[in-house]
Amino acid sequence: MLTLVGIGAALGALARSLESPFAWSSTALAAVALLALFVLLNEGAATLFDPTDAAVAAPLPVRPRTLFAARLLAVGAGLLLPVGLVALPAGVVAATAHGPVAGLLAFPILALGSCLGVLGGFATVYALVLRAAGPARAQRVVTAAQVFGGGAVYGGILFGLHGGASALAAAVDVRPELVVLLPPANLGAVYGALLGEEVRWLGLHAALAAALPVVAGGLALALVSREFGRALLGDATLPGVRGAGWPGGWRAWLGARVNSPGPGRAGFLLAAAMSRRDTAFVRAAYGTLVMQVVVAAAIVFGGRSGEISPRLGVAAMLYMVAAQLPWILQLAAHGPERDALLPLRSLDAAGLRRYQAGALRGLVLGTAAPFLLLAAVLMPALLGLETALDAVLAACIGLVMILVFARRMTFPALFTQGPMRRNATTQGLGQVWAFALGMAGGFLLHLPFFLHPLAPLVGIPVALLVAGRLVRSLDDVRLKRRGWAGAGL
Amino acid sequence: MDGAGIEVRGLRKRYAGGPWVLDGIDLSVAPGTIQGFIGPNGAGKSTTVKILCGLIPDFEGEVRVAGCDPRVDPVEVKRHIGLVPENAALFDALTVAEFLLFVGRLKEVDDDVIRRRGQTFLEVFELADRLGARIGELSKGMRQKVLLTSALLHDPRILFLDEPLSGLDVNASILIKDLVRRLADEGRAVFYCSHVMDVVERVCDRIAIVDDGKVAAEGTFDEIQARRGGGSLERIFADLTSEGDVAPRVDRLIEALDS
Repeated sequence: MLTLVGIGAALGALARSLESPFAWSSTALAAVALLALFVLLNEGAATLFDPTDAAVAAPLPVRPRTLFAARLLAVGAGLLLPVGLVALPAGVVAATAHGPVAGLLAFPILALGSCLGVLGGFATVYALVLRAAGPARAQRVVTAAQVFGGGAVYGGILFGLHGGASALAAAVDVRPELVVLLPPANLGAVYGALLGEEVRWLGLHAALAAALPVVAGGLALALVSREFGRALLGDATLPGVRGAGWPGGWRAWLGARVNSPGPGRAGFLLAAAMSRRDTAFVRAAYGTLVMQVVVAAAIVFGGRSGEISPRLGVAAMLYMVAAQLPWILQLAAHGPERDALLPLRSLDAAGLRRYQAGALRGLVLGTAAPFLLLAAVLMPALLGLETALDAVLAACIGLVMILVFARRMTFPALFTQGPMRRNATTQGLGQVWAFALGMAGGFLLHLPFFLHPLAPLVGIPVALLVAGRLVRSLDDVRLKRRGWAGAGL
Repeated sequence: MDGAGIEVRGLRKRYAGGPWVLDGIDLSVAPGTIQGFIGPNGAGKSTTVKILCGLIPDFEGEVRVAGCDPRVDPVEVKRHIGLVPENAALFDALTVAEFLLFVGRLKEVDDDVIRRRGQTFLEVFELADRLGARIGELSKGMRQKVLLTSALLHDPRILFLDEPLSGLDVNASILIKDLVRRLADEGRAVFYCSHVMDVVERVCDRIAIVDDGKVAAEGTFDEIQARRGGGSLERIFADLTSEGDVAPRVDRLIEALDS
């Protein structure tokens, strides 16, 4: 919340440096729209259609369109807090430059309009996806959008700073009428006009600003009814896979290699399945990992030539991925409904440790490790072979850091804390600290190897040896044991 | 106390200073016996099952399940029992095969045994082609069959079945009833909770009717019938546990709809 207030205040401060109220409000309202889009991607889509309550809603004598409209309102209400936390401070600070009426009244109202426009657009896209892909596949498309959408938004901003924004500005300079196609500019024009600024095509701007939320929302409702109805009636599940079905493949092979029979393999199996299929986990964990890769790529590729050493960039990317493990562990504490945990309650403390160690291995090998591996292979291919040794070393040190975290952190038995209701519940300062320490630790360990291009050759076997030792000793991982034996779950 | 079945003496339980949910339950289930355990809603059936399965540690009285005290060693109790709870939640994200492997491995059953037993059970239950299907996609009856399979994977000595026929079709119900009979005949103790009186009457060797946390009647069906002067189990159950005649209450409901 403080971060959002800070962003709002910073946006407001821009009002004193930008002469044109139109330019300032367009920028600030674009930021508000981006925030709204981000929140919608992460949390709104899950609220728009929740298969778990289809059984309750389907028999009600209410039209699907009405239910969708109600959900849209609920999602819109959920946007008010984050958007308000940005828009209100921005307005307060801007009021020092533009006056209290503009800052405290006009800007928040226009921010709400911006938010509604994004909501309408989002709902329209969602409805189109429902219609095009069908209810079952739409859920997968939405999850994929959540995983990659955050990264795309961040990437768009970060890479855009290096060229996209100036290209857009140049295009508008050549063809000024293009500005009417930018929704934040429509609202910004209204704000500018209120402050007496001369704005071209004001009437068109105002009409578009007023029409966008209404038209987009109406379009979404018109598009969604039939498909949403099908989804509510239980058509949101893809047909099951038939056939032999006993788990095989590399995961089963790996699970048998790195775990002894019994609870360890059970934990590995559960972690491997949940980390691929639990929607809440997938969108939060992989979304974060994708975002880290995008941010790191923007740092590496977005900088001017020679600004950042490719070796440093590779290391940065890999440590950013590795430092996500505390966050992933927090996410993985959540699992299915508590009643489903009944089989786990037959474990004693020793069995629980084996389960936990197996689940940890499954989680690490199923989430952070593939990203580390992928980055370690891709980065040298993109940045030159001279970074290859650093990439392998950083991947090894990253793995060591992950395992150190796993051994040192005290966390609940994985997948035992009930369902994750909201992404935001697991965020906190602890994650920020763990991330910062992970980054700092990785760089400190890597630093000596920047002295000579071949120096990582020494570090790689050392890191692998340490990682092997840590993997073997994971059976002793510390747990919160309080209340386990009885009704602790 | 016998080491292989269930022994309960003076079992009492209440939650957070409230009224006694269980108020002196005495019960003995020998190996090879199917013990019916029936009672109205809120009579204490689920609490009794949870205590016997080692899921509720704080209670009064003496309880032995497979020779173990669930208060002292709940994990050991859980090793010897198979539990099919009513309204069980499952791991919807797992496939049927993964779920069976998960449960079996937690109970230290060898993977080959899990596959062999699981395959056989699912073939008999006509679910073999659903091995690779997610549990979340299964119907209620299919989930119940998977649950029964998982409860039997480790070949438990004592079975706790809470409405095991819930959601099953007629053919599957007949199959499960025969299976339960055979399991008992082979020496396992079965604790059978249900609201379906005619099934309890036909399947169970002994029946305990609980009401307000006390055992209102216990014995074979013939013994209970003789003590109550004849009638079906449903009639005896209603006599023991109902708050008076049903007809006036139905009249009230109909009047409410008409008003």
